[in-house]
This record gives sequence, C-alpha cells and structure tokens, in this order.
Amino acid sequence: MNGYLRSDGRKGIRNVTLVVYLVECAHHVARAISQNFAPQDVQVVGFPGCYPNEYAQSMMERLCTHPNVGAVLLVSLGCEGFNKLKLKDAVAQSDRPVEVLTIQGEGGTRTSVEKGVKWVEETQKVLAETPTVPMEISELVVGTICGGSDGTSGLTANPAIGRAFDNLVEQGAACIFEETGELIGCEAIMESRAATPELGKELSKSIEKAARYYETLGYPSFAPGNADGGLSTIEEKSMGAYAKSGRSTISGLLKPGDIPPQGGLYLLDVVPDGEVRFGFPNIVDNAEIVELIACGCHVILFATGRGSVVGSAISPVIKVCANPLTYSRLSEDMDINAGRILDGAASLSQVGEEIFDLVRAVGRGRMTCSEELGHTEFVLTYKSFEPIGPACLPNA
Amino acid sequence: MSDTNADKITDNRLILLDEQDNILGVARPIRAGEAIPVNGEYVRLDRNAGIGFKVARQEIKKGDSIVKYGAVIGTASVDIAVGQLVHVHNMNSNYLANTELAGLGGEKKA
Repeated sequence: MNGYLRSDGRKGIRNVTLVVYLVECAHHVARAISQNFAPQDVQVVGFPGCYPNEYAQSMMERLCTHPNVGAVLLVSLGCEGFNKLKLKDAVAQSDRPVEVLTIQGEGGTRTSVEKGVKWVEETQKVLAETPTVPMEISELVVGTICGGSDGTSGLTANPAIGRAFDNLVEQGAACIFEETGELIGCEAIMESRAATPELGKELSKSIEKAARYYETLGYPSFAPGNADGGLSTIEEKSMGAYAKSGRSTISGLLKPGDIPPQGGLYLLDVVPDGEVRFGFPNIVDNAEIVELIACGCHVILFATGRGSVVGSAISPVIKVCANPLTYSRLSEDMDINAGRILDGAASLSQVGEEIFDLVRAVGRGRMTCSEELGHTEFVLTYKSFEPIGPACLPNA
Repeated sequence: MSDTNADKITDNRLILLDEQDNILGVARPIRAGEAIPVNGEYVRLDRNAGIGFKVARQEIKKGDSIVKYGAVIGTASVDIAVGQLVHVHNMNSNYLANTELAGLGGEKKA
C-alpha cells in the first residue's frame, strides 16, 4: 500500500476535501459547493445544531484532521455557536489547506457558493500533487459495525469479520469494535480477554452503563422478535455481534475521538456518560461509523443481513453481506458475499481472508461498492463524554 | 474459542461455529421430521428450525451449559437429545437469572 503522509505521522488511504457546514443553516451552501465535484474527491460533513457542544467540537477536530482528509473548507452562517476559529486553528496546525467561508459576511448564498467552488478548485490542484509514501498493514486502523442484522449475521458475516480482525491484529493493525449496547451478557468473556484485570473491569463497566442507558430509554435488550429469529438468550444475541471482534486480546477501551496508541484490538464505548440527555446514543448506523472514523479508522467493515446500502464520508465502507438471498437482490451494493458460507461454497476462514485481502486492495485505492455509487453519508448529533481513565489503555 | 476445525461443514443445512460448541447452527430452514446428519449419524429433527436456530450436536443434560461460538450462552433446563432443537423451551439465560443490572433482572425471555 501507499499512503498520504500527514504532519502527525499518520498516513491516509484517501485524500478527500471536506466541505463542513457548522450549523444546518449553512448546509445548503456546503452541498451546493460540493456538487461541482466528484463525491470521492469532495464530501460534505457537518453539525446541524446552533448551540455549542464540546463533543461535536472535538469530533469535528478529529474528523477534519483525519489521515484520509487532505483539505477543509468550513462553511459558517455567522451567528451559530460552533467555535469555527478553534476548528480552523486545529486544521491549520496539521498543515492542511483550510479556509472559513462565513455566509453572512460573503453577501449570501450565491457569492458564498462561488467563492467556495473557486477555493476547492484551487485546492484540488494542490492535493493532486500530494506525494505518497509506502504504508504497512500495521499503520492501518480498521473499524467494524453491524446493521440491518438478521439470523444469518451471527453465522456468517460477523464471525468472518472476526477472522479478518484476528489476521489484521496479528499483522500489527489497530482494530476497533463497538456497540456496547449489543454486548450485554458478554461481560465475563470480555473481561477474560482483556490485557489487564483493570481494563477488564472498565470493559464491564462500559456495558453496564449501556444497559442502564437503554433501560432509561425503554429500549429492550432482548425482544420477542429475537427469539422468533432463533436466538434463545441475550448472551447468545450479544455473542453474535461480539463475534466481529475475533479472538485477539483486548488492548484497550476508547471513547469517540480517541486514537489507538498502537496496534491491537480495542472496544469503542459509544454510550454517553452521565444522565441521559440527548436521546438515543446513536440514532442510526452512520452515527457509529462517524465515531469509528473519528478514532482514526481508515476503513470500516460493515456486516449486514437484511441489506444496508450505506457508505460514509471520509473513510471507505466495505459491506459484508451475511445473507445469500439479500446478496442476490443487492449485489451491486455488497462488497463481500459471506452468505456463501451457508451455501457450503466457502468457509469462515476463506471469507475472512477475502475480507483481509479487500482491506488491502481498498488501501491501495480500489473503490468499494458504496464509494462507486457515490455514498458519503454522515451524521453527527449532540452527546457528552467523560475522558477515559488510565486503566483503559494499559500499554499506552 | 478453539482454533481447530471450526469451519468444517457437516451438511449444507448445518454449520459448526466452534469446535467446542455442543450445538450446530441452522443454515437453511429444516422441517420437523427431516433427517439431519449429526456426528455421522442421521437423526430426525423434532421441531421446525429456521435460519439461525440451533440443533444439539451431542447429548446435553439438564444443567449443562449450552456452548456456541465457544462461549456459554445459557443452561439446559431439561435433558436434550442429539439432533433436537435447542431454544427457549429447553434452555435458559444465565445472564438474566444472575444479573442485577437495572431493568434486566426482571426481564423474562419471550
């Protein structure tokens, strides 16, 4: 693989220009600017809220200095609460081209769009000259998520991703799994896989927190529909999702925006700390994908049974389809057909290797299905987190 | 989880997820009465099983752990014969019985 070397030493597998709306009122202008360019080159991300939020501010700083990002255009209405100068400084310090466009100061929509398009055009010329350097598997950060799960997810796609994770971790990559709300019942087995007993306790605590959070929201952890699909207990349901993590030692616990300090397997705690304040921890799969990317993920492995079609801004999404019938209906959207395991046409290990090989190919520039179809979904909402404690990263 | 022949597929309709497992995953719908090969012997399934259901890979005594993915996912509530469906009618969660977590302690399986 070759990567784009960034000033912090990390390397990117893409060289995206982000057009960032800092409040929903600036979304249209950001979108209008981006529509003049190809979706793989210029992508829109943003935060819709008018009131400031520390989490959104720090997430945006992580995303705008992500190794897959080459340049950033910030689009502000002018009166929103987002601290755009702090964000601009963070991007400028990373040696990336950055500009702030304030609609109220530029004279409105049309002049802002024109000025933004001009800036992006100039910047694209600069980015085209970005040199690349050799990049090893050990420099990759890979995240995983499941969405649109069905009875096949835990049999094929999730354990196959686990095999790929084992292989990646063995070769020094950092791999991140998440969805603590779907790991309820796995505490004991996770504790036994933690690098230290203290980390094991932190892993358990994060899952207890998720159980309480979902309970407050009235969200069932084991619903009648699960039993209809053949799942008998909450620990069985959770093990199906947990299978994505593979068998490696768990090296640490992260929160959104924490960068893994070295290779290894990490759990990302996506459930906010403190009182339930802003509603559901993650309103949709892409909110979790954004949090994985904020932790530095270059690529996301997405296991789906019923057939999600999403991609993401910033980092490519590899969709691993668990169900062979879904694959036959949505093959154009699916990168890997893990359903072949159910047909007896492939083993878990073979599909695991296929996923591993595709990660490398995508690292070398091959586009995923969602990239080719122009998917660049992005969601960021209000949240609040406490920083992680020292026990969470014992080897840092 | 053990690393041995977990990928071995006994039959297109059944899948072994981990060598330590005492259940097989159902990979495609099987009707009650259909013969399925378990450990080299054909047995008739006692109930209908859809994709994602479980069938006993060996004899399981009341009180034994049910093991899937090489992990304990519950306990047999009655004796289970080879080839029988393993589900809420013959196994219970250990987690919900033991947990003191808010909201999970009183929850019963559907």
